[in-house]
Amino acid sequence: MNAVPYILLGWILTVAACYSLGAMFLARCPAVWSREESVALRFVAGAGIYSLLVFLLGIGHMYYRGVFIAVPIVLLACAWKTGALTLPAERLAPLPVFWGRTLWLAAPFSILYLSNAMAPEASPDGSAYHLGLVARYYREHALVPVPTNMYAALSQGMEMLFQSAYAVGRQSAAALVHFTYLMALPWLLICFGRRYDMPAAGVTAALLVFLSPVVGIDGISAYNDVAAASVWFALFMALRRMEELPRERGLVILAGVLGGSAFGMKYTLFPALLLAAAGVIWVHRRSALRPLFALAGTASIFIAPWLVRNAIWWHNPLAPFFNNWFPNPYWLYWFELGYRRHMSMYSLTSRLQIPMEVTVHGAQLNGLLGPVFLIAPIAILAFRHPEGRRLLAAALFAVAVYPSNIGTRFLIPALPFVAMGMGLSLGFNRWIAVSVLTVHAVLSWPNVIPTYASQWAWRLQKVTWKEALRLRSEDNYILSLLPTYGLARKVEELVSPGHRVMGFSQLPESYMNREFLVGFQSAEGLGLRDIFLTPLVRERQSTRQVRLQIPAGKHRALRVVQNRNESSGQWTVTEMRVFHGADELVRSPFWRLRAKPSLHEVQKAFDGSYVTRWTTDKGRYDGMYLEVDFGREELVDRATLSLTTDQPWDSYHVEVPSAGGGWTRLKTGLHLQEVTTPLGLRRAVVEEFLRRNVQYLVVADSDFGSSDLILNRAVWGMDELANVGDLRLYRLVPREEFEARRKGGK
Amino acid sequence: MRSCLVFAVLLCGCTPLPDSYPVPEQRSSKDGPDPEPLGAFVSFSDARSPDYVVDGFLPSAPDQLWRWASARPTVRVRVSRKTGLRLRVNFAFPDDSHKPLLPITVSYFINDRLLEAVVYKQSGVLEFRKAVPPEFLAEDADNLIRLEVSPIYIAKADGVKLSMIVSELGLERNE
Repeated sequence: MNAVPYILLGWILTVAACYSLGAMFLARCPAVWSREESVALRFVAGAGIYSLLVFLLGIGHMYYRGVFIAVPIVLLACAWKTGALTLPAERLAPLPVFWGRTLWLAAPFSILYLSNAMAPEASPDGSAYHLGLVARYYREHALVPVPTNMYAALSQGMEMLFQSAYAVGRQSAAALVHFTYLMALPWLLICFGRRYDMPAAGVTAALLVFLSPVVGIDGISAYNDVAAASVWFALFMALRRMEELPRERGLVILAGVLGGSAFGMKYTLFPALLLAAAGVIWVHRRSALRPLFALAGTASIFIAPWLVRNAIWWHNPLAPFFNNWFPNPYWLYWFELGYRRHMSMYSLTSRLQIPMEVTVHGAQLNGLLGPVFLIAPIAILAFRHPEGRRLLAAALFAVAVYPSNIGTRFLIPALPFVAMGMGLSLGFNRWIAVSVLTVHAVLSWPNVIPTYASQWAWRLQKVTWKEALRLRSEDNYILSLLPTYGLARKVEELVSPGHRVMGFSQLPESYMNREFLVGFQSAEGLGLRDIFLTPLVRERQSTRQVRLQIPAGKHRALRVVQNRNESSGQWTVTEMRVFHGADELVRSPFWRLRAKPSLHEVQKAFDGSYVTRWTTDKGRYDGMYLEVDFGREELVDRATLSLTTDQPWDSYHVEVPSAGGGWTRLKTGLHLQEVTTPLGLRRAVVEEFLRRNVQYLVVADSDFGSSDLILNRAVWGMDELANVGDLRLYRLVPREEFEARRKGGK
Repeated sequence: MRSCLVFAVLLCGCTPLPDSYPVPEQRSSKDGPDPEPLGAFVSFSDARSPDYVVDGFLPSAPDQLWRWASARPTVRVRVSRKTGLRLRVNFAFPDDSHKPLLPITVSYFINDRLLEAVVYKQSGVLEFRKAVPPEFLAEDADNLIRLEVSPIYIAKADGVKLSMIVSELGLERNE
């Protein structure tokens, strides 16, 4: 059956739901907005409200196709019944003919964008996790915790809209929802220009933004950056209007809705809330307290669901970040540090490379704004204009968090403000402005981009009508853009339902029904990766045994305490054992294990495995400990730690409970013994994976250890099931089958 | 205010993380035997032999009983007493590759001190044995045994340096 009608239905129903809710909401202050502004603002504001509604539907386990058909229809009926759909009578001043004609530059791009948005979704992040999670929620018919994916802990306002569209029209319908924002954003810019008597700046800004290559490919994909930019600019419009109509309380509420839904869409949009607060204070001055409460109260309705969800599911309201403040078993602090470090530099060697990367090259920072943005600094000239000052101030808020992630698309929220500033600066001569726009249009067309940008730049390739209308194979199209899709199909074909697959990089999960766990996306994944690497990297193997000799005595518990202070490195313990004389104390079911920090990892130091290890996750600090509570008095005279060689061994002591309820430090003799690497580590890894419910492994030829897997498959006990491109799918052979093979001499 | 209250109420519903954990399932010994202290002698038929290698040996296939050495093969061994020990090295110069290189000189070093340099005028399976003075050795520390071979066969196909095939080496009782 042709998917196109469903794609269109999913898209239209979602947009209709957003529009209806926005219309009913904006009907509270009918005299504020013109007919033209209302069209876009209803969608943008309503989308935030609809997103919240979908969140609640998810909590209520109501993610069914029928629900996402019925709810938009009901909302539309309500809006129609209440008369909210009627557009305001006020109209903005008409656009001058010259600038109206200039807008024709956008026509071919509109076709390019629509065809690509309707074509099968093949964006890296969209197909992997934005829609991968949406697909997972839809399979479960609910918003469920996904502890193996850090992106599931981010605010997911946009994913909620995708959920509605996906339920009816799958991936392309979701991408079309983002495409709607791509159309709404320039519309808002033009409206702003018309309202404040600067149509040239409005049209110039609209075209600078709309034609930008990274805006185009982002806006047609299941991403959220263009939506974020739309919400930012809508918020700015609301604040600007508040200056003119300070008594209009509805505008404060609107700012709260937009600011709150911005945070609900993306954590990094929290400066939108600060801008909203600053705007309210600026307008209301000494009487700002009440409006500020109204703003905060409204915004919190859209923010709180995500924070509460995270607090309940992940024990960290700001998950997957700030794990140092909120330690939890799901996300690791040291990974967070590394992740942030990477996002702040990518693979650049200097931040001076950023301007050329984001405007011209487009490979290292994933996309390009277009070479004309090299003249973006002229936006500063807009400072002479009152509107320019407001725009530049808003741009500062929008760009404030850019250094935390320097990817090109993270500039998109600030782009409308900068572009409007550029429009004001270029406005002294309309022919110069049009020349710049024409050059921008030419340089942004897919066929032209390769003549100056990197061949690896993230960009659109061509108009894709045949793919959009499904007249060409969906599989071949996705495969041409997303080589990992081939292995995703193999996983679907070869992996039994209910089994888990682990890999070290993303696969397009939105096209998979099997649970896929990416190594870097969770504490569990990172733990499995650590286990996998143990046989391959000598520094991860516990070839040191430290004996901690103490005076023989009866104790109810015992702690090994670490004494060094080093922010770098980790204290890791592969195994901790307790002895009396020659005999090891048998680990009893009455024992209780504790650790500080990383309590949730403590069992790894007491499981008898040489491929798992307890890790502190936050450097090495005096007072960190591993503790065994024996549940009764036990005679002990030493403990041993199995350690890797990448850490000091001479900075420990033993403590035991004192009569007063505290802990007493015992005189501890330390002795180091170098020991051989435990044997059978490769097979132990596979056993550990199976124990942790991972039955399949995807390894790229470029992944560390891939050649060892190819050479020593029989030793590991893995069967290669598929090899697509540079990816291989392995089945982990269960223990009984492995033993039988070994006996059979295979 | 209402949402703040809802937030607070929901936070109360958070499940606290446990304050301690029980002993987990113990991994079976089938996963592999426990590690043991490093010894004084290494045989390349032993799966633990990679733990002794410091440098100068080529990777081997699983279950291979010997290793190709390159220019300066080095292993580490441990001894609990320094007296009454000798160095034994069992090795081979393959006829096909090494006969044209003869005579070949092998210098045996222990902790960077030359024990002996021997000139070999024949290829095939060979053995070296010599008592080691106690002052060459250290107790409860890594003792490095290094061999320097000259000349060395260089494979024409890939330029890999192959000095000798080693099956066993290390320190043993001088009986």
